[in-house]
Amino acid sequence: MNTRVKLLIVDDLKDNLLALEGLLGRDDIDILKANSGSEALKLLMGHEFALVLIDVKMPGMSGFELAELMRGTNNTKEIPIIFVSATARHPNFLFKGYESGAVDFLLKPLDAHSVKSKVNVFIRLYLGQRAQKELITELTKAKLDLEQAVRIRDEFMSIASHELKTPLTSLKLQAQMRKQKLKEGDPLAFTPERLTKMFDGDEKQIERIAHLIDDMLDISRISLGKLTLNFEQFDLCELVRDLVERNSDQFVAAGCPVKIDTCQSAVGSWDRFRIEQVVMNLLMNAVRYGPGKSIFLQVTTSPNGVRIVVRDQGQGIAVENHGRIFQRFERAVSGSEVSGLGLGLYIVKQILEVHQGSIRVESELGQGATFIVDLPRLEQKEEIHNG
Amino acid sequence: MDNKPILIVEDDLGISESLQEYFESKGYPVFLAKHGQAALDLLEMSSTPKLGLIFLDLMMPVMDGFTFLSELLGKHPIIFAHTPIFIMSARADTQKLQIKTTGLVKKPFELEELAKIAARYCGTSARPVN
Repeated sequence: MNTRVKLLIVDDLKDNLLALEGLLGRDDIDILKANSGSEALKLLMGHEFALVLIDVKMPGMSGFELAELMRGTNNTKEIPIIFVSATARHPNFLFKGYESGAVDFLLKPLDAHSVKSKVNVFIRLYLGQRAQKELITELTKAKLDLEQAVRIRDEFMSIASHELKTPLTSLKLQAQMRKQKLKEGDPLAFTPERLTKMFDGDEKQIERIAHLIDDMLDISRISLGKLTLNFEQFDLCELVRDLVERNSDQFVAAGCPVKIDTCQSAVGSWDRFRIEQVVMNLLMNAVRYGPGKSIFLQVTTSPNGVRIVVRDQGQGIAVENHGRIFQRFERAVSGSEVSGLGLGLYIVKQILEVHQGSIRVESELGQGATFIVDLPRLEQKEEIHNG
Repeated sequence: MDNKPILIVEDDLGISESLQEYFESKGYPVFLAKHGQAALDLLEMSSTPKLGLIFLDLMMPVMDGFTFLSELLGKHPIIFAHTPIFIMSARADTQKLQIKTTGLVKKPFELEELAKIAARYCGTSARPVN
């Protein structure tokens, strides 16, 4: 904690100022001097003082007049004052109601010991108050952060429950209709062809639910800083070719054939499962936003790492949204236009950051979008955590 | 007397097509719309018969359920006044709805509940539609 404090001493006599300065001078105290009330006011506007020592008897503005002016100003009304007076007459009655109540008096000739101990009391008081203020500021900020986190969580829960209920509704509808058909004894309702179609449909909905839950779990891991990578050595080009091959039915069904252009091999040490997740996510986005149009997927190597490029011919992303799409719960189109949690690219970005890689987008509205992933070839194989 | 037709406005085909199958098996003509705009287009076509009931999802692409309701109220107040509308939603914030509708069915819903609503507003003739 910062324990430096500022003192202001106000006296019209230069000798008095020097004497007080000599008496109170310490490494952790900055002493500012004013030889008149008006000069003191100027200094009071520009600095935060722990304490002001004011000579009562000054030409022009007296010490009491200065104190009155200080009392009338928000910035200065809390500053404790020690009046320095040559008369034995107690000036307390002249100056009642001073806001902080922290007013004290020293009589000339000054006694070095009592001056020091009085000043020390006020400095300790000031430091305590300052620490308290800092604590309150910190707590207020923490409270705002927490409230924001709760708001985000509530919004997330609302979207997540809607997204989960859609496939559940579909499954429940199917189940109820099958029961009813069984009851009606309709044999045509359960031919092998129809059953196959039903099970395919069910599987799709179940996968959708599982996928949503995976995303939700990833988000919670990321926010707790527990996204863990398991490094292994593999060929990224091979992984990309395999991935597209395995899912080619999906892409063909969506009318989005994937055109691959990879180098011979790009061996490095990454988390295989997570990198697969990244590439798949980018491909599925390309399908979702550019149905019926082919997707271009490229892998190239450089001395430092590997670059993966996914280009679609979809609706494109306006430049002002390029940063936003990588944030949580965001997508380029407005809230209800596309279903999903709006977490895909956020998770992708987090995964890449834990790999010390990066992702960016090049796109304009109506021009399709190109996502560019740069991954360094990491040497280390130990576990890396985010956060 | 023939049953009145039902319009289902829902972007999830798994849900809308199941509902279509169900209601058609119960003897109701069914129209499907994938979003609010498609529903408005359908309602504006002169060939569309008078609907007995609309089931409306809230979260949909192109035009969501909230916008559909205000558009319908603004452009076709007579259709709005004469057509019962039931919101189908999983959203907890249906209280955000500024426009009063006939009712609400929560997802995942019970077919029996939907059947009762259809019977009440569209008739109970058992003749299947082909």
